[in-house]
Amino acid sequence: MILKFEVPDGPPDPKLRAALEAVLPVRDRDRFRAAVLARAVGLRPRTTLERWARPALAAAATIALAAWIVGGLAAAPAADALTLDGAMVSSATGSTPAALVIAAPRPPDPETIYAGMVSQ
Amino acid sequence: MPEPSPDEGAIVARARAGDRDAFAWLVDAYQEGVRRVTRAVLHDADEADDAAQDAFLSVLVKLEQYDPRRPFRPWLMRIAANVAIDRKRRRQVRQVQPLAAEAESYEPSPLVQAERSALRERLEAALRHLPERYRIALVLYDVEGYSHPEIADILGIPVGTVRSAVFHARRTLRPLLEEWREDR
Repeated sequence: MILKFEVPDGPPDPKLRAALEAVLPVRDRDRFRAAVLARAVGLRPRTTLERWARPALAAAATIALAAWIVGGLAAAPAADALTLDGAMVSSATGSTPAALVIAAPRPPDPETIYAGMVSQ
Repeated sequence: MPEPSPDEGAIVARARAGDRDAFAWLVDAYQEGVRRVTRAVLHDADEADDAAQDAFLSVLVKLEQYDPRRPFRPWLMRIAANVAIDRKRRRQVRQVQPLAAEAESYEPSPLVQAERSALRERLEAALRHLPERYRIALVLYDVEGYSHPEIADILGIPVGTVRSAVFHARRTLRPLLEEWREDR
């Protein structure tokens, strides 16, 4: 015998439905409803702005972090160069003040030059 | 799909505006279908009910995203199916208990067990061994009355896949169902 529900497009079978309802029973409707409503206290539909607020904050934090890292990396080579220049001059002249003068980012202060000459 | 209530749209709109009674009405009206879908995925009745509750809460929070031009129930069912599937995946990932303990959790309470016939248990076992997608499709089609295209929309899979899932699920359950008919 070919049963109706064997046909893929056949209509829903009431007996199969009854069997499935027996196997997957739904009990305590009132308790379930009460449980959902109790948990729903304080919840409300999230507005579009609220939905976007969290991703926006996360994006802003990510951008700030990225900017901080990039800024740090950009600043780092200058410091390294300063140190390298100083080290080269120190090793060549044996004079720390001379190294400071050469490696300084601003024009040298005459007092520094003078102090260097005195120390030599 | 079952006929929606004539004022379903208005009730959803009220729930969206924060009306608790309207939300309670939605829970009352659709809890059976939602609980059955989560049960089809998760087997364990308590865990399935937890997932169904989560689904309703998720619906409440996401109501602003709901497109009122589209039917509400498939949207709700999609959320319920996704919540249950997510929960099952998380359970599988964090599962540290031995399999025997997991099997134990499927055991019904003594009272329910007494009520259940051997055939019902076999049908339940057969249903459990079906692939997850088959079970959901079968429940949505044969119990909840959704059409193949509607189920395809709910599950986000092609209509042909839904047809195939329902067909294979029915074919698997057919021998048991014949016995079921004799027993009834």
